[in-house]
Amino acid sequence: MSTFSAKGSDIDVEAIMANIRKKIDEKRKGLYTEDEVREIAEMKLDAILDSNEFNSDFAAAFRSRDAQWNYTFTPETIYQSSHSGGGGLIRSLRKLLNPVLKLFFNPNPIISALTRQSDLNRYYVLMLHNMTTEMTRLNLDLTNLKSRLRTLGVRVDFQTKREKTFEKVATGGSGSSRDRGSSSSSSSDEGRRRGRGGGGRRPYRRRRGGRSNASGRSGGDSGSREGGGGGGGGSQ
Amino acid sequence: MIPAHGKVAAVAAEARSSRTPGGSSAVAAVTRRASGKNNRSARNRTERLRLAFVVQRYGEDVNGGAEYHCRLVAEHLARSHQVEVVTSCAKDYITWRNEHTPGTHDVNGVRVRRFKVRKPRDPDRFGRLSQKVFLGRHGEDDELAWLDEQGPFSPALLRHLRRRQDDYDYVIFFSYRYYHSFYGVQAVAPKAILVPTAEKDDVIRLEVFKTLFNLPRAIVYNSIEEREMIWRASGNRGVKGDVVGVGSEVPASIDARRFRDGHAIHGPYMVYIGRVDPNKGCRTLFNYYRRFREETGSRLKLVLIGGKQMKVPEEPGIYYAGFLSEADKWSALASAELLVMPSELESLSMVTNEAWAVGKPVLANGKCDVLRGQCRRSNAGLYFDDYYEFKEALVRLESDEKLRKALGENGERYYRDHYRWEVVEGKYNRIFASLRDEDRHRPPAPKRGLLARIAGY
Repeated sequence: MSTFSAKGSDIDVEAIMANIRKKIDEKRKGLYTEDEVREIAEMKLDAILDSNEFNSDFAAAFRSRDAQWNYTFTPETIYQSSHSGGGGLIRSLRKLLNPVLKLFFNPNPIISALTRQSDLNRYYVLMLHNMTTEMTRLNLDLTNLKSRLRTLGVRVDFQTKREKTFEKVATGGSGSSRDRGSSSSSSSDEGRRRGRGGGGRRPYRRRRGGRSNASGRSGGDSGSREGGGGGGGGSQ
Repeated sequence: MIPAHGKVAAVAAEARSSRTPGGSSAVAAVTRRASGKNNRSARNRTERLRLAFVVQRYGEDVNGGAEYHCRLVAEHLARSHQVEVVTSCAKDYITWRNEHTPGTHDVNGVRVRRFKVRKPRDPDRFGRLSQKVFLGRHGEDDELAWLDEQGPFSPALLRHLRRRQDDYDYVIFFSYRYYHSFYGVQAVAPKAILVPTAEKDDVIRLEVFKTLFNLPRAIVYNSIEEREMIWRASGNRGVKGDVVGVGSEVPASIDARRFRDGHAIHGPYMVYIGRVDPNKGCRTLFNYYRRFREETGSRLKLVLIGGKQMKVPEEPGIYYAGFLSEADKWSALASAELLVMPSELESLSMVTNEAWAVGKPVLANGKCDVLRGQCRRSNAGLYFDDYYEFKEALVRLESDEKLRKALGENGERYYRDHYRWEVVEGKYNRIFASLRDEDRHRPPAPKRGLLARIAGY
């Protein structure tokens, strides 16, 4: 490996590269690295729907300042004047000349369209607000459901483990009692299958007290044995 | 007939039994002993061997790094050995369509034996298999099916190797990832020398190749990084091997004005030589260069030489010169300020060696282990991992003539020590000598019967 190197010069590429990196680090102070920029670009844009950030009074506040963001347009607007003194006179004159204006074009559709647009602007604000509220609510619901799902998942896991433990206890008991009478070659699987078939749960039920229906339903010698153990009523 | 993969282990054991203990250190010892001696006299002393080069495609009209590498080595070794090239009739590595006529030909004084590809590659099937093998859960059968589809699927070529293996002293396989190498090395393991030309991609991690790297008598690596990657992937440290690479032949005289005059290029420029292809990092290069020019106001141009697989932006400072003659290429290199090499996947960059041969510094992609390692070891180039490093390194190279000169001188020295053809040929010959030495000291293998020789078993 030592054969593949060129020494004998005062140039050291690694030192130059270290120097370049140091310089870049100094320049980058306070700036985002490329990885950070990529991370920001890939970030999910859900901050706007964060329930903590969302202002539910936003629409009301916005609508109360209607004049600051929307225009008001009535059929009278086109005749109005900004002059404080002679404004009334100018407005009357314009209204008087309205029939002449109508000879050139019909201003009514324009007035109607602009009035409607002004109303629409208000509706859009309200609709967007409602949609945002609804999405925030849905987002909260989704978060709740996710957390419930997680809880349920944990419970299901727990129940599965519990069931397995009970099964082990049950099959272990029935298997041993049955194996006493059966041949020694019977496999543990067979024992487990037999246990699930009916006899396997009996010891567990018997332990919890009382005579079970199972003992009455099951026929054969196991039934009579249980009947004998549980009391005389079982045999009727 | 192709041996089942299950036999690979047995073949490996047979191949291993023919090695002396010590593995690569034995070659290193021979290399050390011979390193001080004159290479020319070493060539004169070298025994004339019968060598077969097995490669997926071959010819002057074939583009491809490994194929070009093989042709150069074959042509140079043909001066001191009896060389025959065994290859397919394909020219195109995507379809493996038979385009050359089968049989023996002469290419630049080297005898070439071509075999038909029985089944061209089905791109759909290959794509599906690639997806399964590289992205999904899969088994050895899937990998072998992928390898068959990878091609060039030429059982005739393998049959020839088995039947006529006694005609060759050593069989040198190029590119481990293809059908011919995988089954060919298994077929003639006691005579096989592998030149893997491996890159840092997912193929190296396939299970079937782990065994392959343990089969040949010796492995000729392109770089230290490639060797370490293969060691890591296959644990084949016991197999003999040396880092050799490929030589570059610098013209006796280079007319530095020829390119500038012919293409009306004025002012300083950096040059990129190779396929203009997004896979070679050219898109990144264009983006970085555009930003560099905007931010620094530099007058440094970017000249591109080679085939085009993508649109070259028509922007100030970028000049695409297209395919050039060798004389023009060397002229462009000699009059450039530096060579830029943005590729992330390189087994060995020949053009980097060529830039160093004419004393030019290199600005390479640091994400490519091989290029980064070469720049560090040679002290002849800077490298970049992102735009900021590209910009700073380029600013420094552009503004500091003394630095360029010093890096270039280091590069020249590095080329002289490692990549002159005399050095490369000497390394090959030392590997052959080491294997011959081993062969002399081991009991001769039982002669194959007539039927085995005819049937190719």
